[in-house]
Amino acid sequence: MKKSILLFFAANMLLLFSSGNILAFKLFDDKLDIKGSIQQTLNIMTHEEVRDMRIGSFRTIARLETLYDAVKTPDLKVRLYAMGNYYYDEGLNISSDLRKSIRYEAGKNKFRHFRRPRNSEEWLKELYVDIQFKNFQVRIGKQLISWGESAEAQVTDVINPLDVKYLVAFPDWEDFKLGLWMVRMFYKPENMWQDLLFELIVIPFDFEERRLPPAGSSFFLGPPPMPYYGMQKMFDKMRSDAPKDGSNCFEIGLRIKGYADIGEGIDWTISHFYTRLDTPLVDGQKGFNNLVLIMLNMPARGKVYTYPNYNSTGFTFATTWNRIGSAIRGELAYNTNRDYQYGPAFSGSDIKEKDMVTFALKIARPTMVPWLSRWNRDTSVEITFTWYQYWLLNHEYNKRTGDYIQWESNTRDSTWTKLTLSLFTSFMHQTLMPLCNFAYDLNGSTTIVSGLIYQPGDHWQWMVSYMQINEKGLGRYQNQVICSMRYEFW
Amino acid sequence: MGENKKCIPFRFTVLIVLQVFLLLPLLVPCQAGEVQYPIPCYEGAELENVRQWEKSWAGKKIDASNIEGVKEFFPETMYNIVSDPGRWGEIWFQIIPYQQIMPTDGDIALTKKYAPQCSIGQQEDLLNYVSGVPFPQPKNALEVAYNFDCINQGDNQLAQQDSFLVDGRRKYDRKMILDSNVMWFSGRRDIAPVPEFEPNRKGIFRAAHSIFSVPASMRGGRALQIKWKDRTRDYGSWFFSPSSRRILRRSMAQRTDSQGGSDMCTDDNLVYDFTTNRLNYKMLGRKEMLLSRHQDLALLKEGHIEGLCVPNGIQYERIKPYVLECTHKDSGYIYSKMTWYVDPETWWILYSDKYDREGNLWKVFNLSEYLCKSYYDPNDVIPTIGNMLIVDVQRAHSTFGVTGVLIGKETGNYRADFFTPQALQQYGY
Repeated sequence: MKKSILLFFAANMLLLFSSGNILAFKLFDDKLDIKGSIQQTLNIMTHEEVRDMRIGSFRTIARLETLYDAVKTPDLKVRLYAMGNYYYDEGLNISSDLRKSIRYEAGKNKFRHFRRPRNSEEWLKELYVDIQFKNFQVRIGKQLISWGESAEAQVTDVINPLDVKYLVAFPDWEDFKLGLWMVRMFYKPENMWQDLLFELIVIPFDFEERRLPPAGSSFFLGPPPMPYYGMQKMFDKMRSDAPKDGSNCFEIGLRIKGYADIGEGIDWTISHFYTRLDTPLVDGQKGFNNLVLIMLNMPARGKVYTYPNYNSTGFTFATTWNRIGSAIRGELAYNTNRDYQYGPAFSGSDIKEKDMVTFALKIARPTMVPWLSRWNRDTSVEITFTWYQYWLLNHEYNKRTGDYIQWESNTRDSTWTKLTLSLFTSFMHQTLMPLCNFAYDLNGSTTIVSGLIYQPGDHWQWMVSYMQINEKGLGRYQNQVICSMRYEFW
Repeated sequence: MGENKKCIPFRFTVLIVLQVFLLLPLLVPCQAGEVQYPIPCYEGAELENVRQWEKSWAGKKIDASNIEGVKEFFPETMYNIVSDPGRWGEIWFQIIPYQQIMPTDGDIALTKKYAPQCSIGQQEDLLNYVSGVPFPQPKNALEVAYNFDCINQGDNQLAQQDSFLVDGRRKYDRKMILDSNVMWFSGRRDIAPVPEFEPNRKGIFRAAHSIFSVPASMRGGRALQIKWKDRTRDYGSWFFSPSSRRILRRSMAQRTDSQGGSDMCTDDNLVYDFTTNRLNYKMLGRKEMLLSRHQDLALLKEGHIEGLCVPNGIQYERIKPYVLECTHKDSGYIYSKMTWYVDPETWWILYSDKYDREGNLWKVFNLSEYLCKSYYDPNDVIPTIGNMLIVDVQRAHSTFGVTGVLIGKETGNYRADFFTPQALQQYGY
């Protein structure tokens, strides 16, 4: 293990002093545009717990993005776009504790699951054809979509499921979303009031459940080790019970985007999305009974989990308030007909349908810090404050039995508030960039993620970051230092 | 009695004549003098004087060894750079003969037609502007500033910027490459529709949709900036982030942040790119100076040496610019003072010194003008900026970029819907 880490740092030092554009692609008369990166990351756990793991991950990630201009005329444009993200995690080769932990809690056959993406569902992020003809545009294929204004939580941005197998520190956006096969259509009428743009997405058959790390791995936020691979069997059942691709997985969404010339101008959207939960619920008493069987290391007699449908209606806006030098963004989502587990903590077989309202308000302001900015050649510190507020309508809590609606807040309260503050600045003409993110969950934990990026040239980037989760629960086992080195090419 | 009878017709006649004279300005459009435009920098004896001087210096390469000979005309802050090869390296530039730059026919016609109706409002805004140069014979610094604000840049433009971010201390370069599609919705000169798109419901004056290629972290990023016909209104600014696939609205406060590690902030684009009435202006007069015009861009490209902040091969021409001293109305602005040197024929700011909040010289802007042929009409040449050099004299760092400008070439992007925030997402990947 020490040898591998030494090699890693030695490679860093060698490459730090190298220069030049190692790879550059110009193909097909510049019609093909290729961009990519190779990244090496090392995760060192800092909080010892029963699993006693020090190395959490030693991952090599290769990203490739291509854009091909197939047709380009004044009226018609056809482009092909693809993005892939493949990784190989050598952590198992250098950390015997990690190997032992996964073997004990998930089984040796899950090593592969930890090492690399399971299949193209996970590494092929996007692959679609984009056709633009006059006022119409259609994208057909596997896509990642961002609706909404906030990045730290899903408010209106609920289209693509998440892959949280490696959700740490400042993850690259491509790393934690899964692409879906869909058709996405845009129509922008000419000279329309408020520059309206209509967007329709249709996901005819593709469903992907949320991806979870294998039990016992460093990113696994689970209870202390359970016998008979208990947790892993639950995860496997979540996957096997997920709806199979077909017409029953149909999802559809409509978004209208506009620009209101009011005040300093307001960008707004209204959306509606008929979708399905990508994290499951225990399917009633039958499901619960089967779950108990699994916990007892016995074969289940049917499904445990269900992935019910629901509706999400959203509104977002973005504007500026130049009097205070700020950009303000907000979003509101009203989720209706959404099913929740009802019962005692972390269990319960009943399902109840509730509505939830989620709201996020984000204010970003570049601020001149009196002594720092002046010394740093009048470079501001970008301060972004976000307030997330959740309301579960008609929440139920039976004090006598202890049963309650188990929703995202993980509490018995009907409201949940989360505040985040992020700070970002740069030094030496953006070669050195510190960043920091604080998240305060009023119902529980605080999370601090801080990092330093060094980017001396056009291609290389080094980053070291530290993530600390302050809570009494399982989150604190995720405290870690992450070192990464990346080479970008185009 | 008889004499009185004679006086009455005489008085009546005088009265009529007086009334006609009084009413005449109302009956006949007031010319207030014919609008003179264009006005060359030098004429007659002055031009002869310049030609005499050029006999000694035009065509010559000037470097630290002989710069003393042209010191009186050379910008002082650039003189300090060139004459200090120990810090800045061996730099040479060239002097070329003065040539008048003629505006396009459209520019001349529209200036003569609309300039008389232009005026400055109570909020120091520009009133009744349609197209052309609003104040071809400016009376004060603010009018010069508005002439710059209304420069003819060709109506439809694709600017392909290939910039070096030069670290003069560590002797290496980084790159920044972006393409900017710029379209004037109003104030158009030559390419139909002139002078304005109809309808122009949102009151846009100019919009720019930029696409970033380098560095890799910004590749695929797109930015939109809208300048309004209402010159007191803050610009609208958006950025599409390829990493988050979101459109971010940018506030005015972000305009003073460095762009991509370069020496320029958003406000520094082409020396100053924001609402004109945010600054206080003071006219310092006119001065004989060597400023960069008729630049051969190939010479600049060859003249760049990695790690040297100033490229070799800048070509300077003797002209007589307006010299303006500008201070921001916000006392907390990053620059305590700016000095502009404005070309009186084209209204480009070709040189500028900017001072930090302590009053120390911080950045030197040296812009090189060149004549760009229009694809729309090959007979039209439009003076535009082919190179913007910004030198941070305190940190020995510079940003230098050669911009290839395509004016009037049909790219399929000169449509109103390409310059909307929605377009950033539609075209973003």
